[in-house]
Amino acid sequence: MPSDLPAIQCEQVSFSYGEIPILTNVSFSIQKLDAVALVGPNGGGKSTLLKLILGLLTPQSGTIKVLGVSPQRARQKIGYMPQHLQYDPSFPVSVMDVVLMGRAGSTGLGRYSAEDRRIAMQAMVELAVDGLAARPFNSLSGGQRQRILIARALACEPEILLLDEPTANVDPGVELQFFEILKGLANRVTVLTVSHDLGFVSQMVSRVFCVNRQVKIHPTSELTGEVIREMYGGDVRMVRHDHCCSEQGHSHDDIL
Amino acid sequence: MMTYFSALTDPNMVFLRYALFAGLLAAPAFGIIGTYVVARRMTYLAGAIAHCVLGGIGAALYCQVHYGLAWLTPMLGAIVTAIAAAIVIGLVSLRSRERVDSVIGAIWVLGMAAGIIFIAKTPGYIDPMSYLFGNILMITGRDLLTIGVLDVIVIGLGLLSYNRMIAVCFDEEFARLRGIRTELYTLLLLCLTALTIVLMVRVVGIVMVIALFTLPAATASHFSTRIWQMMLLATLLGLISVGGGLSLSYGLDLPTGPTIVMLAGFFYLTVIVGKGLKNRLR
Repeated sequence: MPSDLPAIQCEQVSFSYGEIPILTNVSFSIQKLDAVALVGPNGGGKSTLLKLILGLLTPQSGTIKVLGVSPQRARQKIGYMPQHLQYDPSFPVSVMDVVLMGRAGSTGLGRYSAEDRRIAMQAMVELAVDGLAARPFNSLSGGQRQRILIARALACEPEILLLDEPTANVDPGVELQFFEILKGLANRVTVLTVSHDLGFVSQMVSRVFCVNRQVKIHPTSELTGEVIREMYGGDVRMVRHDHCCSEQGHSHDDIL
Repeated sequence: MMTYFSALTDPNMVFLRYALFAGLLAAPAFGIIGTYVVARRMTYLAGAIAHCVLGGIGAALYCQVHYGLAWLTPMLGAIVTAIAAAIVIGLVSLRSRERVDSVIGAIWVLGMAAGIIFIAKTPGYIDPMSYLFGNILMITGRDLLTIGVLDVIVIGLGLLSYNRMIAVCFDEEFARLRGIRTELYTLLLLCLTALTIVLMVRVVGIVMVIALFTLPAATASHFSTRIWQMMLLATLLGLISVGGGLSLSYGLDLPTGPTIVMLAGFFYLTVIVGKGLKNRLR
């Protein structure tokens, strides 16, 4: 398989829940080691797009290829951090148990090997949460849990990392440190991150996808501080809908 | 108390010994599977399986008398029905577009109703009460052997699947993304639940068997930060409830099943109330 295959390729993808269209004719391609942020209003289809890429949902039309194959087949190479955990707060697990779940399913009977533990520990070191390994997961703060879930995604040894709102619960004090960590990851794996906080992610990604039923692509190199309110209100500050995009971008006339 | 221990060794009181063995054998299975069920919040499904078992017991009794199928013991009927109910309930909850709780409620009631009809149509005096609420006088040596075999299967599979079961119970979506066949593990858990229920149907009956599932595990969850701790503690509480309940019921001449369940419930309520008071005092 040639190594220049795109990490994620969507062609004419449409998805609807019953009668309600969520995504219409979405096409884009993300190269390996590209870093992309998905922004857009709530209900605009960001999480749906992630679930399509993960193969948890199937598009009504169009094709999605991840690393050249179907999302289901590529799953093992994707690390996923969900926005919300369907999480029972009284579930008795340690932080290490949770991160090790990134290794679950990789071995025959489901026993974790010393190698699995080493990889899990390394993921925690990378996110600077290794000190929490023995703590009960439910004793952590929201921001700490967020990092543990990223560590869990990283423990999958992924080629692609999908992060759904990784900055949602991060305390302002550690935001900068968190940002450096994510930036470091983007050098190693393809990162696709959903975020409300564009000012935060625009420095670590090369392109911003505005998802609102359709996907509009904006290279961050052309971002200015101008406020775009037509789509996002005051939520997102740093994208300008530029009508002369680079080759990676597009003209809005194509889509609209 | 002394009389209880001497009764245990009395050759004329062999049923008491059998009941104790059955309870002690079952406690680890209840501790392990009960922990999964409580953590996964599947108590309601376990309740439905337990009540369906009456249908199998009734059908077995009916067939024994009407068709002379002596090998079709109530225990066998219970095992087959419990597994069948577990699979049907599992598939319904995984696949059905119908409201899941309505379907499960229907299965729950139909299983019981079928059981009562079968028992009513079986000649000879059979008291449904002893199946509903348990009767230690009915435990035979063969039952004990069956319980032992089921116990080994349940504990073995329960512990072998430990890591994956936790992954599925904690975050099913993520587990699926890791290539774990989560639906298979859900069905496995329901089948293990079914077998565990059968272990104690004789002693505490199908109505109250669910208490042994949830109460020790729920009590244990207040003191555990890891799943295995919860299992261990739930097993211990199960052993104490069964052993203590049996001796209390013997000493005070009370029905055994309800006494065991009362003791398990007493521990649970004490812990909840104790924790509540502690929080209030702080």
